[in-house]
Amino acid sequence: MNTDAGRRSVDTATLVIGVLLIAGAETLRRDAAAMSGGIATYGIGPTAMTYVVAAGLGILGLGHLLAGVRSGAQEREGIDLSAVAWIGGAVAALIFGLDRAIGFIPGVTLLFAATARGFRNDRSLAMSNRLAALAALGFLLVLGIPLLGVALPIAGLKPALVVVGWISLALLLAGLFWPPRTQTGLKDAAIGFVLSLIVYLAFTKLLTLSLPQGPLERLL
Amino acid sequence: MDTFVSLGQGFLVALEPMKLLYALIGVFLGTLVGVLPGIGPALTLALLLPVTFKLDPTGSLIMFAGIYYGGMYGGSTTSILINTPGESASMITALEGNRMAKSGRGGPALATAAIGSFVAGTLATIGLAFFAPYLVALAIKFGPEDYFALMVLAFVTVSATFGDSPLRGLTSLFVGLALGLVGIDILSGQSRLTYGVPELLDGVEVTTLAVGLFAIGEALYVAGRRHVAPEEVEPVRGSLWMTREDWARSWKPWLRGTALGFPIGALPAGGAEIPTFLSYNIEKKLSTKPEEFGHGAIEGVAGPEAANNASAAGTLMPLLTLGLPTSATAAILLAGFQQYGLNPGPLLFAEKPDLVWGLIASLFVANVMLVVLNLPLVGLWVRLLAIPQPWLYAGILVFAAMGTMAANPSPVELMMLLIFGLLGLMMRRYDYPIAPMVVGLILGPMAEAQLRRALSISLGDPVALVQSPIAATLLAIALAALVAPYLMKGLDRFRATED
Repeated sequence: MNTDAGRRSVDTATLVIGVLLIAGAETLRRDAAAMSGGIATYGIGPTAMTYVVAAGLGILGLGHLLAGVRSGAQEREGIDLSAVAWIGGAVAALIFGLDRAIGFIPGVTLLFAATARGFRNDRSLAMSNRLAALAALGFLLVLGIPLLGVALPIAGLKPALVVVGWISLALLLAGLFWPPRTQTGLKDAAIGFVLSLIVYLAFTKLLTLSLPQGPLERLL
Repeated sequence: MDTFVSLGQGFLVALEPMKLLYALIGVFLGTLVGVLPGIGPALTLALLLPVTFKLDPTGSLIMFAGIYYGGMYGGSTTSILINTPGESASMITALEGNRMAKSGRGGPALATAAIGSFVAGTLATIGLAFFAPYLVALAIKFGPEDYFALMVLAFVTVSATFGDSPLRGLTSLFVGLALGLVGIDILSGQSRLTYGVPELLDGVEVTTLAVGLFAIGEALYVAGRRHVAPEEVEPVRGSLWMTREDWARSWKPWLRGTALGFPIGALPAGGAEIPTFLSYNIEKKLSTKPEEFGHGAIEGVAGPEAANNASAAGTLMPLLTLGLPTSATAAILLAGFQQYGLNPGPLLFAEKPDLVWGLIASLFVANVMLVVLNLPLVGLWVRLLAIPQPWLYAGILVFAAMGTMAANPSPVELMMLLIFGLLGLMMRRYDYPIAPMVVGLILGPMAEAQLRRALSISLGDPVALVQSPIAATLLAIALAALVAPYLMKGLDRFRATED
C-alpha cells in the first residue's frame, strides 16, 4: 500500500514492543505454572486468569510483530534524552536517598531542582547534562540490579551498589550546580526547599500523615 | 417521588456546614490543580487523593466530587488560554476556545465554557438522580455472569472500539489486566506475580499507576519534546462578560451538548471524546455563522464543553449503580471509594443512602460553587498559568512523589512510580492510549471475581456464562464491538479499491 521504500524496511519499535509483550506473556505463564493451583473444587482456580491474560499478551505480541513488518519504517520525532535523564535521575535519586534515610525535605528539594533543570535544557549545559546522564546510568545500576535479581526491596543493597548510588547522587548534584548555571541551580533548590518544607509541615502536622524522616525532619 | 425524598435527604447531608467546607476546599483544589497545563481531571483526582485520607467517607467523597468538577473547569480554562488540553475530551474546546482567546475574546470563551459546564453539569446531575434508581432496580437482578459480561463489554469499548488502533488499545488494556493479577488472590489466598516482595502482596495501587502514567510520563514527555512545541499563555483581554449575541448563540449548544453528553457518558462505552466531537460537528452544521468555525466560534466552545461535562456526570451512572468505571477518571474515583471499603453498586444505594445521595447532592453544590467562584477568580487562575514551566513541572513531580509516599511510604512504591512514569513516556511516544490500562488494572480483578463466582455457582459449567439472556446479549455486543473496527477497515479498503 505504501511506497516500495516503506515496504522493504520494518518498524523496529513495534517489533521490539511485540517481543517485550511475548516475553511478558511467558513471564505470566511461568508464574502460573509454578503455582500449586487446582484447589478450587468447582469452577476455575487462581491460575486461569493468568493464563488468559498471558494468552492475550502473546497474541497481541504476535500482532505487533505482524504490524511492524507490514507497516514499514515509521518516522517519529526524537525525544531529548538528557531531559529524561534529569527527571528519571531525580526520581531515582529520591528513591535511593530515602533508602539511605536522608529524609523527605532534602530528597524532595533535589527532585524539584533536578526536574526543573530537565526543563531548562540547552546547549550551554553540555557538561552538566553529561553528569546527569552518568548519574542516571549509575542509578539504573543501583536500582536495576536488585530488580533483575527479582528482590525488589532495595533495603538490602550490596555495599558496592550503595557506593555507586552515593557517587551518582554526587554527580547529579555536581551537574545541577555546574557553571554557567550555578545560580539557577541554587535558586531552583531554594524554591524546592521551601516547597518541600511547607508540604512536609502541612502533611505531617495538619493531615497527620507520616512522611519519610531524616536528620532534618527530626528537628521539626 | 422516592427520588426527590432521597435527593432531599442528600441535600441535608451536603448542606451541613462542614460538608460545605469540604466541597469548597475540593472545588478550589480541583480547579487549582486542574488549571495547570497538561493535567486533566483524572490526574487531578489521583494527585489529590492523599489529601482526603484522614476524612470520614462522606466528607471525603464530597470533597472528591468537588475536585472532580473543579478539575474539569480548570481543564477548560487551560485549553482556552494555552492550547494544551489536559485530556482528549477538551481538545475541541482548545480548538475554538484558543482561537477566541487569540482574537481577544478570551473572556466570553471562558464565560460560555463555565456557564455551559454549569448548565450541563446541573441537568446531567438531575438526570443521574432521576435515572440511577431505575438502573439500580435493574442491577439488583444481575447475577455474577451478567456482571462479568458487562465488564467484558466495558473492556472492549474502552480499549478497542473508539481508539485509533484496536491493537494498541487492547495492548494497553492487557498490560493493565496483567498488573491487576499482582498480589494475593482473594479466593484462594495464593500470591501471584509477587516474587517474594511483601509490598506487592496488596497489588498495584490504581493511584500509583495513574500518577506514574499521567504525571511522571507527561513531565518526561513534555521535557523531552520541549524543543518541538513551546507553549504560550494567551492573556485575557477585553470584557469577561458575554454579550447578548453570545448568550443567544450559546444557550442552544449548551442544551444540545448536554443531550449528547449525558446518555453517551452513561453507556459503558467510556470517553467523553465522542460526544464532544459530535457536538462540535452538529454546532458547525446548525450555526448561522459557519464561516467562524476554525477562527473562534462561540458555539464551538459552548456545545463541546457542555457535552464534556454532561458526559462526566453520565459516567457516574454506571460507576455508582453498577460499580463499573468506564474512564480513567471513574477508575480513580472507584479507587477513592475502595479506600474506605465501599463498593459502589446497587447495594451501596440500599446500605448507605446518605452517602450516595449526599454525594449526588454535593455535585449540585459543587457546580454552583464553581460558577460563582471561577468567573471572578479567573485572574488568579491565569496567574497560575504564568508559572515558569520548569517550576510548574517540578512542583507536579513533587506532589506526585509526595502523594505516593503518603499513601505507602516504601521505596518499592516509588520504584513502581518511576517505572510507570517511563512506561507512560513510551506510551505517549508510540501513541498508546492510557485509560484502558488504568481501567484494566481496577476492573480486571473485579471481572475475575465475578467470573469465578459465576462458575462456582454453575459447578464449573461454562455454558452458564451465556445462559442468562442479559449476559448473552452483552457478550454478543462486546464481540460485535471488538470485530466492528476491523470490519469497517476491511470495508474501507474494499471501497478504496473500488474507487
